[in-house]
Amino acid sequence: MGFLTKDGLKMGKTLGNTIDPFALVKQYGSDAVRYFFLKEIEFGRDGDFSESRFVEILNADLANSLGNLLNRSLGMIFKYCDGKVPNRGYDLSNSCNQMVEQVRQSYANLAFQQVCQAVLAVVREGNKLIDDRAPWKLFKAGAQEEVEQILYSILEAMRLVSLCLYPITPNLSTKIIEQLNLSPHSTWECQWGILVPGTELPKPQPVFERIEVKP
Amino acid sequence: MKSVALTTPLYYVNDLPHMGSAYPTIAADALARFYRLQGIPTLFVTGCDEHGQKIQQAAAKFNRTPQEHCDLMVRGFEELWNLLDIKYDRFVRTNDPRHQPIVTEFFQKVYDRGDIYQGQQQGWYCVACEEFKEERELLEDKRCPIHPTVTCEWRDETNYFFRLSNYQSQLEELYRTRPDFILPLSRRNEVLSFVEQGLRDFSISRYTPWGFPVPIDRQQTLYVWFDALLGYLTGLVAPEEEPTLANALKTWYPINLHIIGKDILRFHAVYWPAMLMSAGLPLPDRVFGHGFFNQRWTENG
Repeated sequence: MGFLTKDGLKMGKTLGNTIDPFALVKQYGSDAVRYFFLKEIEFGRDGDFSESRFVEILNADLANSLGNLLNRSLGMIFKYCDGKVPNRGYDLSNSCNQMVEQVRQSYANLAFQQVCQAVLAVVREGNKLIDDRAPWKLFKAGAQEEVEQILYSILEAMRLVSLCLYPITPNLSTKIIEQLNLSPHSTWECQWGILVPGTELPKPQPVFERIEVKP
Repeated sequence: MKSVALTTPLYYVNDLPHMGSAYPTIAADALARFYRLQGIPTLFVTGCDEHGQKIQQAAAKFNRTPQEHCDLMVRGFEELWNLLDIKYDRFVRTNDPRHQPIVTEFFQKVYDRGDIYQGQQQGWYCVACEEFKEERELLEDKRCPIHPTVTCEWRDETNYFFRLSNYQSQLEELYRTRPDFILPLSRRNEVLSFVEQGLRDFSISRYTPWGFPVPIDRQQTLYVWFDALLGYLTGLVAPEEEPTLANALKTWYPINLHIIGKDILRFHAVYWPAMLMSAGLPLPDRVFGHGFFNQRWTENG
């Protein structure tokens, strides 16, 4: 996607000689720009910007880790739980309590990078929970209650993840919360177990589209 | 925490916003959203700094009046903040007629304290920095070390000065007793070593037309930084209220956090608290200086 400039540097075509914030936000959206700069550069220190790194971070963190976790969980809920919030589980509740506390302190210290890292740690744990416990196998084996508890845990963790990220990625967080059939974040509702079992969920929609780099 | 008032820099409108203006604004917005989620009353102040010779020059370059130029640039800032979902509460413009009475009132307090005097100023002036430079700092051909394309101009003027030197020990005391006044630590150290070298009075007036007149001498205008810093106070006045210092101070003052770039650290961590001390006002809780980013394009870029 780059082209050669008179300096012989390869540059993204949106960016010109310096990063044009208008072009960047129009091409990638506000959440992407907000997330990248707060996650990638420790606030208070110098950092680097490159468009390739920008795309890489957004795809890895928001599209792949976070977006996929929500999407695959909702997919399974439609397959195994009739598209409704399953029975309560507590698999990620300790991790989420820690995340929420860490995030609260990090915001107060302007440590936005730590906010993102704490959130990503829970997202990774959620993905690992699904990989390790393989709800599709449990379902076949008739362990319905276990399937429900795992999937509830993921959804509730996603609710808290979206709360923690809301100040940084308000649109993404709002899309996540809509997928959970809840109203947009307006208070710091950080305790585990807000989702009510039996609540109908809307059809899964991707919350963050992967950025495709044109060759 | 009962309430939070936080600010971004008031961005200089010589040009449209760049990523360096978007960055602290995104951070301030994230923080404001966080505090609102916590249920803490929050005031998020941003805006533009519109005075000074550099603005005049930028306007002239495009055949615009300074006012036209400022209006156009401000629209650019507002558009970008809209695109980036920045939910600020106040947008300060330093050439807003509402700003002037606050500047005048503040100036009078500092004047009554005996901290403003007339003096002669000679030296090399960088219009891009809006600052006099020491000859030893300059690059070849009197070019500015921060703006290497700008050749400094020789100035010999009678200006009004602010007695910054009066506040040497009070500032040192401030940094010592409130180690988190300037964050992060690297910025604090920068300020300490600057102040250690001894503070010199700085001139707060210029012979340029684009600015507020000096209240005691209509021949000159106030130095852009003097009125720009006071924009933070104007930002605290509710739109429906009369713009007075009392109204600026009554609800949201003192400001809890100024988020700034490291290039304007000296103005916020040294000049600003000294001006507030002179006016007998409480100081902000914290000045946080963010870093810069290099732009790097890789093979895959």
